[in-house]
Amino acid sequence: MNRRHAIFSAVATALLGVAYPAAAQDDPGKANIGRVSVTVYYATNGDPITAGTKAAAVSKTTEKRLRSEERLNFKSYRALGQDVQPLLRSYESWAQPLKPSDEVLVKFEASSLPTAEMMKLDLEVWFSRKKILKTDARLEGNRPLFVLGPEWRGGRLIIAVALAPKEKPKS
Amino acid sequence: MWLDDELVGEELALFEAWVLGQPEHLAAREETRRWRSMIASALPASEEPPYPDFFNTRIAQAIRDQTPKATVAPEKRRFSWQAILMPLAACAGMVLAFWVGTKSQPKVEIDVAGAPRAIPVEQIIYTPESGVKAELIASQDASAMVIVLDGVRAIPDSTDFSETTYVPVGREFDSTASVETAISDLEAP
Amino acid sequence: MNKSNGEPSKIVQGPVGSIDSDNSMDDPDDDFRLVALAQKGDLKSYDALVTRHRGRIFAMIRNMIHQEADAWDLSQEVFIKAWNALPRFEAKARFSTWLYRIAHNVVYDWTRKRKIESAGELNDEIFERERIDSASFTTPSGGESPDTSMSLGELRMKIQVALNKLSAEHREVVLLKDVQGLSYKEIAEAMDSTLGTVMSRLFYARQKLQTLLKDEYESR
Repeated sequence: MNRRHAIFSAVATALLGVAYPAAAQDDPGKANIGRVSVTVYYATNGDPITAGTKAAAVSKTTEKRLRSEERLNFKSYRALGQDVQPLLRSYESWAQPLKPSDEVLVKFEASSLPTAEMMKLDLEVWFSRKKILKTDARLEGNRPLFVLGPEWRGGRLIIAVALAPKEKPKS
Repeated sequence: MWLDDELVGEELALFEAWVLGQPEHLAAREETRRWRSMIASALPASEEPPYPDFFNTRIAQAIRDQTPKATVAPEKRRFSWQAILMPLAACAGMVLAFWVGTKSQPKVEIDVAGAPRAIPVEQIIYTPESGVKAELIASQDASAMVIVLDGVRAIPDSTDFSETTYVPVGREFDSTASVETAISDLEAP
Repeated sequence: MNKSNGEPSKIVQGPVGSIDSDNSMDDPDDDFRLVALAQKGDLKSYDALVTRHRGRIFAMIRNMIHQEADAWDLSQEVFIKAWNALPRFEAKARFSTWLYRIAHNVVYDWTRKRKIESAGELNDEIFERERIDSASFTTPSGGESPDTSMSLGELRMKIQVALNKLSAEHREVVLLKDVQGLSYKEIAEAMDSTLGTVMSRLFYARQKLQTLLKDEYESR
């Protein structure tokens, strides 16, 4: 009987542990179902220094990847900014990768529950406070979306939207 | 309701007769009519949505996507020995035929390379700004979907992003890396 | 490599101004005929209904929320919901009035859901309508002189800025009455309200708008 009681208590505790946060969360629509990163790159065939001194060098992997697509092939790339935002079950999220500037904004909302391989989003890209692009994006772990955007300082901005890994739990 | 020309028939006739001696009511009706004329001239009652054919197509597609396939309820049958023996006999026959077949015919390789592939659903893209065009490319080389925008107004060169709060550097999370790689990077000591 | 064009230059934005080319818009009997067919699953008949009513629904929603792209999406949502609710439609009211009712609910849900819940800070100023580039409004086209076009465009913008200062309910009642031309009774049905409430809202809304648009109003 003691053993049975112990098992029951353990199960009940486990259930309560799951149920309590769910109950405490008023709106299931606010459940966090993933993370999305939005990065803005500056691509140019000229001198990348025109992007400014704060712009960062880009990893070789990224360079190689961008160059492999003809329309994204430029001589140099720099990272201008990044923002990572949660993907909520039924609310939209905004990413502002060049914060505090709002020249580039990306709005996204889940359009289906994510699977292990893929997440479907309704995505909007805004430039200079105007909605420029609306699309339904399918993001996979190793398959982002690149948007070749407006010209700036002799080059082009490339907006990369990708799934972000879960945050590492703080130890 | 009279102000908005909604009275009809006898009601209207009666009211019109009465209102002839009420100049302020007549003025109010005139003012209402002027107002309605002004607002109607400025705001359209009807406006074709952009890409009207595509508009309809999306609706039809959404309706088709959510329509479940019809299922037929199984009929109830009375018990019959035939119902058991016939399938068994058919099974035995198939096994026999297969065995005979394997003995008599050479093996045939099935070529899957030429088999029809599932048609992927196209990604939908929409550019509300007039003059902006978008081209969608499924880039196998870059292992990514690419949207090329044409006709977007350039950001002024004077715009400065040096105050940007966060710029990914070095081994920071790379948005184009695989999820597995990024996780292992984070977990590395 | 697969390529897919996103319908760039073929279609231009629709014209501004009342479109009254489709007389069957005022033929509710024909609507009922198509609805009856659609209720049996005839998608083609439903498609005809969509074509017939999409202009009004899109204009109504666009005038309500001022976001063309979202109005495009929400208008589709109205017709998808209408298809799903077709079995419940009875020919007691006009099909168009029923659609306005669905549009009312769709816009209400959208407005409620539009609260930004992202974890990051965001400058809310970008959502002030007045700060959105006026070029994003559909510009008039189709035979008007540039002066008339500019004048109509300016008036439209002023009216929409003024409409924005009303609550959603007051804005909707003005649009349904003075733009869409619905009767009081139809508006009450579309907004799930009473005749008295519709009348008082309309009275208040018109008074407020006429005050806000005093200069425009007196010059005409």
